[in-house]
Amino acid sequence: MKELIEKIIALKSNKNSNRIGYISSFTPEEILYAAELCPCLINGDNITSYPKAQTYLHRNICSYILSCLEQGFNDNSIKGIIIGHTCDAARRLYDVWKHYISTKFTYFLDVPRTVTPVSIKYFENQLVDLIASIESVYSIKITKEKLIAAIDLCNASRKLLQEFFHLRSKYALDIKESENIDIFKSSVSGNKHEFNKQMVNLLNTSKKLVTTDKSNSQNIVVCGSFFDAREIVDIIEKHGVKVICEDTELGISNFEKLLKFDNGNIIGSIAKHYLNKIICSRIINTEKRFKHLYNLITSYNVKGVVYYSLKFCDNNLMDYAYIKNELDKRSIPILFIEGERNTVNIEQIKTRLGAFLEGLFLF
Amino acid sequence: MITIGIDSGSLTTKGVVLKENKIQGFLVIKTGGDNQKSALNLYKQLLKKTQIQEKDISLILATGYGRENIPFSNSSITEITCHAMGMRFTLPEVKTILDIGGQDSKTIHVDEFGRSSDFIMNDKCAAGTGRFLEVLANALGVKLEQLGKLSEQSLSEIKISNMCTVFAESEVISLVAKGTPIQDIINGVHNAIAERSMTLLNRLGVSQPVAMSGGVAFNTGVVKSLEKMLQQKIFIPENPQIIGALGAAVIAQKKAN
Repeated sequence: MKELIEKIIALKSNKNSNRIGYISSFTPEEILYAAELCPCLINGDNITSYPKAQTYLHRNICSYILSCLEQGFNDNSIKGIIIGHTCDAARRLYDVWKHYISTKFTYFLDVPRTVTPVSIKYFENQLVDLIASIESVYSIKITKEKLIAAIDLCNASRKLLQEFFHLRSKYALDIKESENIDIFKSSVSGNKHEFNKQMVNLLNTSKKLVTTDKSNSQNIVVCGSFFDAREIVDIIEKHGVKVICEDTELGISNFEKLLKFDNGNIIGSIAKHYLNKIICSRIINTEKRFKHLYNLITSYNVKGVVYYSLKFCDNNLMDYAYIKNELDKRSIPILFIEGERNTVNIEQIKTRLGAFLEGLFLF
Repeated sequence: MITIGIDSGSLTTKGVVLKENKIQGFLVIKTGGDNQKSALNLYKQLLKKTQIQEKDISLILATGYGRENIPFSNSSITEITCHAMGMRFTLPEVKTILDIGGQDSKTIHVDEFGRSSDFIMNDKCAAGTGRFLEVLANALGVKLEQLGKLSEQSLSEIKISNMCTVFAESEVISLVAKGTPIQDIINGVHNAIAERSMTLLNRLGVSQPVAMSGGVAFNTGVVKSLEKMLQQKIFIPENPQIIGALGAAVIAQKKAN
């Protein structure tokens, strides 16, 4: 099984020549696959310092944006980029990218902050504009048939990830949470056909290997800003606790629902699906975000929540106050950790995490 | 059953020997530059002091920043959990702990089982910690142990406006140069620490009674400043410095049982 996991994780290093990067998971991969491109979520993976990015962006910008910009400077294989207007820092990222990094296609995708029929229509129009730009720059026609095929492809990935999640939540599988996060990253690295194929193999193997019902495992959920900190999930697992899922940018919201489309309005269906994803605190509906989190807590016997906020991520800092209040009312412990993209303060985090988990599970 | 708790801190290493939940002996030594060496040193001294044989020890638990660098310990636990348990053992009625150590400070809520139910740490900045007092005592040319008594002689309130230890040191030197009485300066320093601690306490919320642990609890001036701002008495255990190590030893008793 380890070999299969490694094979899937290796896919995230894909440097396909048709690669188009995107920042923010509000960007519909389906449109990019329909354009016969390889959409790749840019997330500053393995970037540990940002000397170039900090030359162009001010210091109090979150380290996730800094790492994406640093990757932009260093990775020549990114030929096109779509930056979603998720926050002010993303807006600044677009400004710098447009002027200082020469990509064939640099696009700023506006994303509404509310989810209403009007905003969904607005987002649909934004996607129509995006399609027109892609068609123009890449000299390609994005047809209805190609979109449907792309939706099928992406939904197939979602189904596989769902199945894997359910298997992991119910049984003890020999996979670390850090590997699980990498598996998701591989799913958004522009190689979905191969990813789907390998995931089928992994699922088939996993099903044969499960022996213990782990419904009594000690579970926590991680939520908050962009999160992929291996060291943190490793510390949690070292305490014998399971991270049942992440309710973050790279987390469960990306695959828990399939994209259902109306044949008469495919773009509208895509807009509706992506806007309704419960990911980011930049969407003005913290109550909905909390309900989603609480549903995970009650469904998976979660004993505590780790709220990880990247420094300078004001949206998440504001949301935390509401979420903590609601969890306190329900006597669900929550630990707030403020960190950087590359967890420079890991020793301090270790003490806080350790104390939190000891409080939950030691006695 | 004999257990040992070792708290490996930034400035001092503390150890407590517990036998059937009774303290047999304890020690505090300077950590220095090698926490593993100082922990081992402490351990040997403790055995000698309490006349306990190594073979009779059931469990050794380590805590503090250096907890994972003590190879002869059986396990490690965070200092937050240990302070909660140690304070419960010493002053069972206490509900909130303020621990001001060498380089960090924390507030902890303790439940009726001695567990930490919530906490807040400040370990990003030395201001408001033992290090702050050390630097300023040095700048004033007085010993740490003298600070409490000297601040009692203060006649005027002065404010140390700088939050940063480094800049506060400069500010103190300027005050000395202006002829400000040293007692007033020290009282101002104590108030500055109390203000920083109040921020932590208010963020977490205060459930009475409140107790202090850590070496700074020996400083009667800081305690008085805090009591004035908190408007309530703060309980100080007999040996506030060893609460973490004591908690580790108590948890070891529970684990061994």
